[in-house]
Amino acid sequence: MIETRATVVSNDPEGQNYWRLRLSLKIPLRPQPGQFAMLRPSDQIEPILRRAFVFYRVKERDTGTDCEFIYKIVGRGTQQLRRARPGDTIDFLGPLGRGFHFETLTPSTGEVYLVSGGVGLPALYMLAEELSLRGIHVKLFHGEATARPEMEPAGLSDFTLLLGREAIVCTTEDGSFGRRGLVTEPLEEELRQGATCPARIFACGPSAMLREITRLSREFRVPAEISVEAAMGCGFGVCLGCVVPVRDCTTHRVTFKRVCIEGPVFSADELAWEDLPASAS
Amino acid sequence: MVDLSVTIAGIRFKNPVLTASGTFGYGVEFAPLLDLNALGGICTKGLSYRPLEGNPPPRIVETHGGMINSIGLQNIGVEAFVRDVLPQLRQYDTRIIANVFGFNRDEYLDVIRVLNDADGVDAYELNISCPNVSSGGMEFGNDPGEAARLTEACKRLAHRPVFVKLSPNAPDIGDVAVAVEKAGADAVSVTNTILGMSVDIYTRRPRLATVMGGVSGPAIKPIALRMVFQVARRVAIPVIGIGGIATAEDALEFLIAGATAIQVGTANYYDPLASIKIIDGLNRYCKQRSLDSILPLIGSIELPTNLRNAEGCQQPDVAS
Ligand SMILES: Cc1cc2nc3c(=O)[nH]c(=O)nc-3n(C[C@H](O)[C@H](O)[C@H](O)COP(=O)(O)OP(=O)(O)OC[C@H]3O[C@@H](n4cnc5c(N)ncnc54)[C@H](O)[C@@H]3O)c2cc1C
Ligand SMILES: Cc1cc2nc3c(=O)[nH]c(=O)nc-3n(C[C@H](O)[C@H](O)[C@H](O)COP(=O)(O)O)c2cc1C
Ligand code: FES
Repeated sequence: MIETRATVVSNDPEGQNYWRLRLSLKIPLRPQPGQFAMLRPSDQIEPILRRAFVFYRVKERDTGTDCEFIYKIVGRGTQQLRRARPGDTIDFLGPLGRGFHFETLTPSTGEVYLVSGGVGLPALYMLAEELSLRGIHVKLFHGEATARPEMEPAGLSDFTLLLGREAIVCTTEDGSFGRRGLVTEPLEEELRQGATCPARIFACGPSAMLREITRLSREFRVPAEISVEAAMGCGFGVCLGCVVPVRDCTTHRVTFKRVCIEGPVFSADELAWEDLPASAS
Repeated sequence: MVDLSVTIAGIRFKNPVLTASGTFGYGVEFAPLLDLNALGGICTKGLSYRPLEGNPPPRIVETHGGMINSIGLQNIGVEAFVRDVLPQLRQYDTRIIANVFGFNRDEYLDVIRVLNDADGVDAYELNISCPNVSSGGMEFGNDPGEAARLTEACKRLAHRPVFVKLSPNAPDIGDVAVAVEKAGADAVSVTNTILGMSVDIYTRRPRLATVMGGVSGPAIKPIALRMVFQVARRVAIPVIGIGGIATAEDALEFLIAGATAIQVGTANYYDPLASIKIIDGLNRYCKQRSLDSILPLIGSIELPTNLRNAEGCQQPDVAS
């Protein structure tokens, strides 16, 4: 965990309502897939809390690290981030949290499914890269509510380059891009018909989608790891603001775990969904 | 060299900058980010006798210039603190103030009993002011009589100085301060979070699971500063100022208004180095004014002549 100032290399719109932020850091950094950083334009005091963004792509240089983030304009913090210009500085705290567990996976353990909804997509890119590097076959299911004609979801072209078009299934709820429907529909079809069962599912997206994935993971006995979101005060474990209820698999007791330290990636089995607030996305 | 040290209840703090309970974890979480030895002191997360899970999420919501929280005092319990955390904290050359909480008087005493037997704690800070629990804390803080009785009981048992952290939600915080001073408190910490709420206009639901929570951050600074000023004029024991302090300028306002030391709270979340920057800023301020000690600044506020002798300056006659 490092607290520093990063310099904005570029900050440009991409797809609908998304932006891609490139930062340059003067220090070496090796975030794991699924880890995140807390960001805020330096010298800005409103809104005061930093915002969490997952590392999208990271490149180490001799003199430091380049990091890319893809973010969606949601409210005050992301509006403010959008105004950052090349040369501006960003207060940076990271890498934070626990990422995805993929160490035991090998080409022989089988295929891996990545499932994302909306702004969940960026959380999976470094993981896709890492799995591909290990020769593991990866399939991506990505869903959006809607898309403008001819406009790919932000970051999708990077996944296409990495995995190939045939490894990607896209859905929109209104059918404006890819298949019509929810992303969990082609996922369920695949699990039902699939000749081979995937070794694992990794997912990030809205809570309704994650709940459905938890159900599918149980039904088809495929372990799933999901990255959850929570409003964060600090991002490094001291405010206790970001907790989610989890159930101990042996005692069945429900306790709270911090998304920023014990997460953001949890095993789907672990989350006590019925105790989670409906609004948590 | 500027001497920033201050003394409270016989304890020397190398500088008046402490970190506020609940905003600095148990302290060790910040070790990778800053030199804990540089701090005047660390107030631990509120400790109860048994571990507490706290309130259901969502527990925090951001507001203009601050946030509202309803953590509900989630903590590992005093025994785990003494066993697992204190040995790590003891390696640092800074003062450790254990923030103590109970749902009733006996629980406060149970926590103090465990801490009394442990090395490496310099003082206790009684939290009688958390707005996020349905019983206990809050009532003690709102009623001068209750606050005094609790303080007296804790004081009788405690092997170390007892600071009492007052509630800004009391009808008159000055009355509570006077009562706990009489009961033997060695210092008062002013102030805890201020009861507030936030509503989602789209769902028409409260944004916090507990509906109400405690407001903290720069938004509460003027209120906290006013309370420090009022309390400092009514008690002889030291006042520790807390509420929205994020910069050296903020800290100086509190010191000038009468605080002997200050605590940095919410700022630790969005600027983890805030406390260090404040210490640097105090040094610079003193150097620029050729002060070799911070002490002359404490309570040095210049008041209009007609208000100099007024005890509390409670209701200035201003047209609004
Ligand atoms: C571990 C993690 C990784 C994330 N990675 C990305 C990413 O790569 N790209 C991206 O676009 N978004 C990401 N998010 C979500 C992003 O942090 C929120 O969209 C952002 O905080 C919204 O801030 P705002 O000021 O624009 O919105 P506002 O609604 O004004 O925010 C108000 C408050 O709520 C919090 N908040 C609001 N929505 C969310 C949310 N969905 N999740 C968490 N906190 C929220 C904010 O931090 C803030 O404290 C991530 C969240 C987490 C927890
Ligand atoms: C998330 C959070 C948790 C807190 N927990 C405690 C606590 O356990 N005990 C306590 O006495 N005060 C607690 N406080 C209050 C702070 O110590 C401080 O009094 C208050 O936040 C005002 O200062 P600030 O505006 O600088 O944050 C907490 C505050 C916050 C924001
Ligand atoms: S965001 Fe503060 S503990 Fe997780």
